[in-house]
Amino acid sequence: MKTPGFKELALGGLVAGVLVLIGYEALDINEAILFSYIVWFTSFLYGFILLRAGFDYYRIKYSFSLTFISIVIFLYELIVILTGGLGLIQAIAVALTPYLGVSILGSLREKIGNRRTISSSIKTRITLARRIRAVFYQLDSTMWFFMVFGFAYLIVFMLVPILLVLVYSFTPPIGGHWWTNFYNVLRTRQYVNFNPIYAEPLVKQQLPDGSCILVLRGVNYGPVLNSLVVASIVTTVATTIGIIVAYVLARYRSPGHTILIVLAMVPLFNTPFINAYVIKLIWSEAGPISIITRSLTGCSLRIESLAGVIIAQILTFYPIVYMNAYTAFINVDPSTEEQAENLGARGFKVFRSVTLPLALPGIAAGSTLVFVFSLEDLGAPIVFNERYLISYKIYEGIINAQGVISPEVAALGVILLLIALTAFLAIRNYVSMRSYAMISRGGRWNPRIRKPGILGALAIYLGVLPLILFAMLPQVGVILISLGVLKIYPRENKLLFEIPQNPFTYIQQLLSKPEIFKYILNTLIYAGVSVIIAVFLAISVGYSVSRLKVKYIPNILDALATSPLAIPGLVFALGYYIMFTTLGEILPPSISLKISPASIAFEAWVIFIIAFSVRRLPYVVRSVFAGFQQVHESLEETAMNLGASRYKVVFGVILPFIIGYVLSGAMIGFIYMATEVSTSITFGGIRQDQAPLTFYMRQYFTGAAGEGPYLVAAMGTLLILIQLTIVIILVYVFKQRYAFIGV
Amino acid sequence: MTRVTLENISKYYGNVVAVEDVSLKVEKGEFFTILGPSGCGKTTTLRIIAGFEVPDKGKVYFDDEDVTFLKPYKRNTAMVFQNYALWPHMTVYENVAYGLKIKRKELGLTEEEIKKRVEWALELVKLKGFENRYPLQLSGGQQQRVALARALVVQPRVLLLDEPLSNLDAKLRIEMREELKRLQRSLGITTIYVTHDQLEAMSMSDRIAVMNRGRVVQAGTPKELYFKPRSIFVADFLGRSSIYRGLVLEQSGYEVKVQLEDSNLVLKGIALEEKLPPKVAVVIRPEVIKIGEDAEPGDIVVKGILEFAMFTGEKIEGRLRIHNLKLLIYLPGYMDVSVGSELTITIPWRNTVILPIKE
Repeated sequence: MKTPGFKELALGGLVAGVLVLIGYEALDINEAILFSYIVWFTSFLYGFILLRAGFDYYRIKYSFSLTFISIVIFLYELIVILTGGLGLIQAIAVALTPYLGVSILGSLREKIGNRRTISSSIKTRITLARRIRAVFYQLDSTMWFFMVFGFAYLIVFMLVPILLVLVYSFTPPIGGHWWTNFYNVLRTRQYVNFNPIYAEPLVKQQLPDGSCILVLRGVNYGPVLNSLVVASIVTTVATTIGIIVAYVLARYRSPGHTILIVLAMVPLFNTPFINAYVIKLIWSEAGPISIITRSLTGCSLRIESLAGVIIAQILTFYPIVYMNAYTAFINVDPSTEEQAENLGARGFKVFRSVTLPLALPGIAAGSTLVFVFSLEDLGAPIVFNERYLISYKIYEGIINAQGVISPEVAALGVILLLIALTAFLAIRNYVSMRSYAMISRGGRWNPRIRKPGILGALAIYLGVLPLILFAMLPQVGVILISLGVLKIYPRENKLLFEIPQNPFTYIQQLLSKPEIFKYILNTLIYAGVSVIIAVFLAISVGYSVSRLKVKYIPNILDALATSPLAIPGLVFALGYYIMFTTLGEILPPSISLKISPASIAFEAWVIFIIAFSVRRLPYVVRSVFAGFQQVHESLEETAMNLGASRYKVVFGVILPFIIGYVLSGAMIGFIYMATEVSTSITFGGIRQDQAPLTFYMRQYFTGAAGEGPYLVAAMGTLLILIQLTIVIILVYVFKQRYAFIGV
Repeated sequence: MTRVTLENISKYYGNVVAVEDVSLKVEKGEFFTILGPSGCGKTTTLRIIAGFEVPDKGKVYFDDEDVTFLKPYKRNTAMVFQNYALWPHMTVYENVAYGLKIKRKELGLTEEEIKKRVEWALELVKLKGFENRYPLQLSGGQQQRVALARALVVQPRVLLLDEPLSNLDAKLRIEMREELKRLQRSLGITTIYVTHDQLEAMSMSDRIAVMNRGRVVQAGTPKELYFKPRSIFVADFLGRSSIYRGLVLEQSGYEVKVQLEDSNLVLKGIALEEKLPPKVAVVIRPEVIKIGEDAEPGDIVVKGILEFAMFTGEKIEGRLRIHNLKLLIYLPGYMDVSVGSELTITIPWRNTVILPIKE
């Protein structure tokens, strides 16, 4: 018999999918659901049978795009299972299951196989005592300190809080079971609603003065689905835009090229809240978009709620994909493209068949970050007042907690974490598996850059350039507002340019008014202290991970230090809230009054420093780790060989050598700490006098007094200035070209 | 001066055998080389001696002291790495002085004494006057000397050299070979040298251990290894040779008569063991073959067709076809020969080695 291939795979999936659909037509609802689950399970088994019959799993494993597809399918099915989607949604999942089955079972089979061959042979020949002694041989006092410090800090301030959220989420409500919270969060209409509340995404409203307005809203499927839909759309669109911009900038050299590359990064300047607020203004009846739509349709355009969040996030996050994709395209070995052309492929065909698949891991890394960032984002939801998102629900849960958080909120946090972490780990695995694609195999390395033809030039100047400029508008707007050049008239729905008497009024106010300056000072102190902690952590973790030759331990430490990237900030906020409340109950009142979030004397600064140092650790670690990897191990071994102890080697020989990497990491960490939102605004509300800058921005951007937006914009400008200074130092002093953000 | 002893050392990386059951004795003041193809475990063995790796089995002794689990910074070995591992952010002086400064208290050295010793070391490697340069300002050969000075200045118990010459160009390599040998002789320091270059190994070493697939296949003086290889691997790896399979016809003492496989030729040769298995290999080095007829009893004289010739300057490397055997021969460089011509040669039996084939 012929071994089964993709044809059999697709056919089986199709049959299963159609069966499910027929079931929903022919049977009554409860029977149909039962039937569909049976078909689902069968189609997973079908994958197993295909594998046994000789389906070539390696066809998927070693393909760049097929592996990527299985990850996407995996996430989709996970979500469908969690939320209990029925009908067509479920039928699609069922149809894709054989493919997933083959991938999962194939990789399991391989792992088990590997395990067997290893354990059977050599391991058994070395005595356990000897193996333990070999481990301890590497652990001198410095290594011990690094490892204990790294593990202790990350376990206590990252793992424990998250485990507490997990445990807490299983607390049954009165009369409920241990799973009730999850049932509520995943299966009740309050959270998951496949039949939307307001079904019309675009509404046309007639105004009393005779003009009309188009309101773009989106469809509300309940917070859990909304978050997923928003994150999926944002990721897809941001990725598409990011790839196009990156490809054009990486491959075509046209006048103003360098300026374009720099301008495209402007949206990365992080100005919480005010940024989304400006986007909201741009897409309102007072903004430039409405001028265009009025001339086309006669109606203004306004974006609201979900649609607003989506557009704001796309514009803010697309440069993350752009940066990663740009690096990935630059790193594609040009000879692979030349070979394709040499064999007759042209233009788009080369891109689709060679360049894109080879750059996919890098792009996927950027996309995953966008996915996670979109899920955990609070800025856009708050500005657009969109309460039907997981992140907003958790935020509400914490600020309304008064000492007791609802376990249902914790369950929401667990779901958010589960989705973000799964996506992150799957892609990380995928990317690390393919990193060999980035390795040059010798030969000349001439990036393929050419002058664009007429079509190319049109694409650049009519497509990419306007896009880049448009994406910069929020940052430009923030600066203009802070200088008083752009005035907002909310009543009349107008934005006007004016010549201010003193453009620095608001910036001066920031520094002169002690009640505002306090927030800036708080941020600087917290971020400063956290950065010092994070640098020590990063050195401990980076050094142990790059030098320790022991099984598992370095990997675990590495995973712990990287995972804050994938853990939504609100989950941290939840975790710290629960942890410190619990501590407050255990410890004697003299201490508990200070650390319990419910008490008046609560010292919020402790939490800010801990949260900043843990949440932004990955950025610091990555830079420091890159430094350690730059240092050839023999440089270190020579010093030890000459009698220097590990402590002297690390601090005397290696650190001076990689100080640039350490400082870069510290500065990048500082930027992200200064703009941290999730824990800042949740705990800032509890102890306002200790709150950082971002809390102030959240409180006052709507501006009851009329000055609010201007002052917040002034803070945004201040943040932009800090970030700009740091970026300039990084680029010109430390020569770190792409150090800003990425996986 | 220190004697280094390895006792049944094994090292595994996951499922890969790096070193398997290696036992070696390096005498005081000896220049000892570990020779083998890449991936044979020679560098791992060196790193175990330096203490960068701990063996999974076995023990390492310096004189009578068990140092298997002694930290690298307490062993007082000095290693020169293949890439020199100079610290690019320190000057030549700082690089060389590093080891002394670290051990300053222990050795009770003053700043002045350190300076004197660094000067001594730099003079030794002929780099006086380069104290204030940075490594990146130096040529490959100079960098290599700095690395050597840095190792020698601490007066180590053992000097460890990991392919130190492999990054130099051909001429410089020969120069440094002499230089190293001279230094080692004059200082009388126990030296363990790792290389894959058999010429380097043969020309410098007192003794050589040949490694393959993690094991020591043979250890001995260069001459022993070259003329009395105990395995086909050693015969093949050191120098060049023609190797044939054959069956033992008769053996009396160390003299053996062998019927070659795929040929009616019968050769006489010398075995290194008294009882050979029936299946053996015959090793003939090209430089022992005499051109023309010049036989003593037991030698054989054969005719063959020159199939291929390559002029290298000092000699002509040729391949002679004798029936269906191919034999590697060397002809004098000045000789006029043309491919396709017939040649008569003599194979001396005293220089023909018969080795057992171990299945």
